[in-house]
Amino acid sequence: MSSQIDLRELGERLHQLLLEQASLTVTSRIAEVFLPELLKRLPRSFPTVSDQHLIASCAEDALLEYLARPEKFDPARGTLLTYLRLLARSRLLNELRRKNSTGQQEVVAVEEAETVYGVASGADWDESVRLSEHETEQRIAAKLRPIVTDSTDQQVLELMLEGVRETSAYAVVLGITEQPVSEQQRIVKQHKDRVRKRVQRKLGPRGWQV
Amino acid sequence: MNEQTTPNPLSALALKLRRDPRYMAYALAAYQQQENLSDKELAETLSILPELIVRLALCRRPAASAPQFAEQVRELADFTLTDESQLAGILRQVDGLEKLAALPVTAPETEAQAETQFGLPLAGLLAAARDREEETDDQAQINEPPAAKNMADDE
Repeated sequence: MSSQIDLRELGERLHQLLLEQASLTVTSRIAEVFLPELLKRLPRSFPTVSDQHLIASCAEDALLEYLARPEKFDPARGTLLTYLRLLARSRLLNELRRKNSTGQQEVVAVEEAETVYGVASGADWDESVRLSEHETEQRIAAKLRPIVTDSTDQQVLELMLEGVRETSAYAVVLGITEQPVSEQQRIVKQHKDRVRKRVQRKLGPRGWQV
Repeated sequence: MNEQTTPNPLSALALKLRRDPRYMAYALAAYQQQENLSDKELAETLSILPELIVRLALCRRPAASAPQFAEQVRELADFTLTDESQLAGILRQVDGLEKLAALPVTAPETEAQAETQFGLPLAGLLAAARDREEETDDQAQINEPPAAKNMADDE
């Protein structure tokens, strides 16, 4: 697992995978990385909005909208995070206006100078923003570390949890790059099955309690 | 995902995706409903961490009839540390239920279509499936010879 990930680069890579429809896991990977980031930053644009549930719901809907129509996002015009923020902000403002019209809440959004996609891009939305590590992966890996103790198995497990599909990446970890490709594929599959079974056996039917 | 546990944005997203047949959240919810499993029981059945069930729910759903089904199930199994054959079994079961209920199984183009096409997806599917099963059972009882029925009653 890389210690630092460039969010722009990651967004572009995952966006491309989503457009290509080449991976079934990409929607989950996008959600795991971008939803928590969106939820961290969106409330800062709406400091007077106390309804955190509403903010969260708009962020979730923004992500769903993007996943349903990824072709609408143009990476040349800004980062994926900025685009998601546009969608979420727009939804949130609509919701707040609707509530305001019934006298429930006053709409106050922080004004920002620079715009991307027609939406303000403040310091919090810096395009070179970096993540330390995926929070979800970190949490999962921490729980599984006591179960998978062998360092090679741990590396294989991390690649699996990152959604890495390329045999070559596993071959490097397993030290089998000199073998023919078909043999590499066989060994990698065997190793992944073994790691998965070990985790399941250790967790057992009470794995959810770990 | 029948129960609201710890509020988690990814879980909330997975709950929303239960209405969309293109996602694993839908398939898992359908399986839970069919097998009458709580979230806890689903986690026990799959022997995986709750975070990984949410992760699985947020993935796209492979079509059981697709030629690349096995490879796609393997991708999901690797990513969520789920048992490959168990996952394939769940997906086939849900797929079979959909076919039984004779509802559209093609992925809708838009979210709106998904909601319209599958307005109350699980309830509709299961109600239709149960109706058919009951009809079949009723028919079987009707066709059952009286002697055989009495023997069954004695047991």
